[in-house]
Amino acid sequence: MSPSMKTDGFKPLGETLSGERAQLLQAFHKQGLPGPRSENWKYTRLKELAEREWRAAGKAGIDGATELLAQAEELAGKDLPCLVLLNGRFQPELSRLGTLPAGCEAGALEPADETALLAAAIQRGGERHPLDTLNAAAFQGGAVIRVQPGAQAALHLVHLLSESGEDATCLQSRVRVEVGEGAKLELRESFLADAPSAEILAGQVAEIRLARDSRCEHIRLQRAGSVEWLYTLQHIDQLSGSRYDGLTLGLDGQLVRNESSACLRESGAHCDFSSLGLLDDVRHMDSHTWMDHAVPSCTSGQNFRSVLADRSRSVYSGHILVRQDAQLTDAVQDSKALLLSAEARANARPQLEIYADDVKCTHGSTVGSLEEEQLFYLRSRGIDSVRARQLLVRAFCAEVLESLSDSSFRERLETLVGERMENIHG
Amino acid sequence: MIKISDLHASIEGREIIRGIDLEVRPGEVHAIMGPNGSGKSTLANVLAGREAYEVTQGSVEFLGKDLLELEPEVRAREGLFLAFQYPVEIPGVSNTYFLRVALNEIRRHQGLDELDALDFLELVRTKVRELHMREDLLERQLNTGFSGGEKKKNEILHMAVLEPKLAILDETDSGLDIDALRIVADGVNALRAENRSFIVVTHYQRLLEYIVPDRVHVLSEGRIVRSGGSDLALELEEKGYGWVQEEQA
Repeated sequence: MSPSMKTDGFKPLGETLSGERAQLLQAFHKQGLPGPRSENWKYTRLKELAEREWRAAGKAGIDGATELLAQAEELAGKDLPCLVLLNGRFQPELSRLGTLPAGCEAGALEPADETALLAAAIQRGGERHPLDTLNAAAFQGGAVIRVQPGAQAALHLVHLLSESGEDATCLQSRVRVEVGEGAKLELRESFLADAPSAEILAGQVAEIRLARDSRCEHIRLQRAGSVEWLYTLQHIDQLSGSRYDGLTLGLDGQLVRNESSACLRESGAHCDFSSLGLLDDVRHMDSHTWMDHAVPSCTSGQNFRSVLADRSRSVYSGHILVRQDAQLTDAVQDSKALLLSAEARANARPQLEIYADDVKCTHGSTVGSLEEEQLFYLRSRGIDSVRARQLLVRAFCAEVLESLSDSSFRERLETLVGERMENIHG
Repeated sequence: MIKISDLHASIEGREIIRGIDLEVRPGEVHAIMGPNGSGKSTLANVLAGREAYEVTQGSVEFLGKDLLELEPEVRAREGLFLAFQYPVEIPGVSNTYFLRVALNEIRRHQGLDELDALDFLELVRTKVRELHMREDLLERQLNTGFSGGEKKKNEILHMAVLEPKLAILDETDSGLDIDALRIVADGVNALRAENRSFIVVTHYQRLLEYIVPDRVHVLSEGRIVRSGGSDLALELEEKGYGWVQEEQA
């Protein structure tokens, strides 16, 4: 194990924890934060995180919650039922769940869920990801979404993040999603922060279970504003014939780390992870994936893109594991970074670990600036170089969004991307 | 229309164009022929403003303006069009959207009203029909996944929509089968007009059976070594480029 960093800054969190949670926090202290020599954290340093004093958020409300919410709904769809969490805590008065269709329940994490979660976390103990352990120890709440077999539902899950005063605020939440056999869920998830410069560490752990022949389209809109650290860990568990399509749009946040793992445990399952990051200033976005093909005849796709201006940085680390039994696997992985400035940087680490022989696995990775040839072609038709660049950057982004099934939602996202690009364009 | 005087151009310090004089008057079609490496494509690209080429000597006057002073997009707005030898694939941008943006840039520059999406669609559909092309060309992403022939036809469609004053076709015939060649040639012929000129760069005489030029120029080692009427193309076809090169020596 590589040397880890001290977690003393998280000790204040322990003041309010007892029982299993205190035990888990102890386990976290023992694990420590991943240090600079940890392979999985090579490009994303947590040193500054280790140097602060973290406290849990109080129960205070949030200024301008309704405006933030309206903004999120404008984008995700105003007609969708909406479940709102403030610093992880369910907000019934801000939520709108009356329109949920029959066969779908959504609400706060129940005490029974919490007990089960903690028991499972204790059992797994020190093998876990330290940030996962921290989340299990300190989560302040979360949401559960269940879709019964055969039912169909669409839902907007909103995370409002707010700092609690002068101290650095540690916000932890959990989400649990279960999609029953043959059921379908369209889940849109927004992350929003209020303060102009929020000293916040926001952590979210999600577990998503897909039963046979179920579907989940999951779009995460990360507009965490000035939140300093946002990390998400999501785990997808899939049975036969199920399909998961996940898209993460990273528009904000100073340092964002998204880890997604999937276990395709029955044949005929398909999992798709894609991501689009628009970065400027010194923003940093780090995406890790872990695609576990455990059985034959599953397929997976990964499409990760980032546009980088100024001194921003993106990291993509994608792991595909094809176990010995997983014949006829078809796994595709692609990452592209578009650098708009000489000081921006992108790192890609594709990792293919294949133990079966009859499989198709491909990976491609490119890091580069706009192609002169394309620019000249556009200019030679009368389009000036600023507009030509915008057009090419938008096109680069549009390729990630084109898989979205709801065309008006896709158009809203394209507009948002276009506006954001106009701001960050170098 | 365009007057090229003593033009010299180089790339990475290597001189490719070594003193070209050429005048094309309104309504004329000039063919530039020559063996590989004679500088034909370089000339086309220098006129369109490709930055990799450096003009080291000479001048080009286009409709009374100093062409070499203008940015590539301004040349296009002033009425110059280059049909690329290798049209560039741009995934994620629809052919129609791109073409509307380009046309409106040109219209704005010329003091005309911009066309909205509906009016433009009507215009571009009419052009597609007139050119006997397939309408699905419009919905597809710009040149992306197009066959060689489709790319060349698309260049002709762009030309028909943008209605340039001077169109330069850079080996538009290369790699085309006879049907595609006809569509391309018909497209050019339909646009021939008193106030519009063409410079057709080609390696083979074949295209000139369909687009009959007013003048033919033979380029060799960066210079025009012979000029004549449309018969010159036939003579070249018969005797080969070796003939003019030998004569030159």
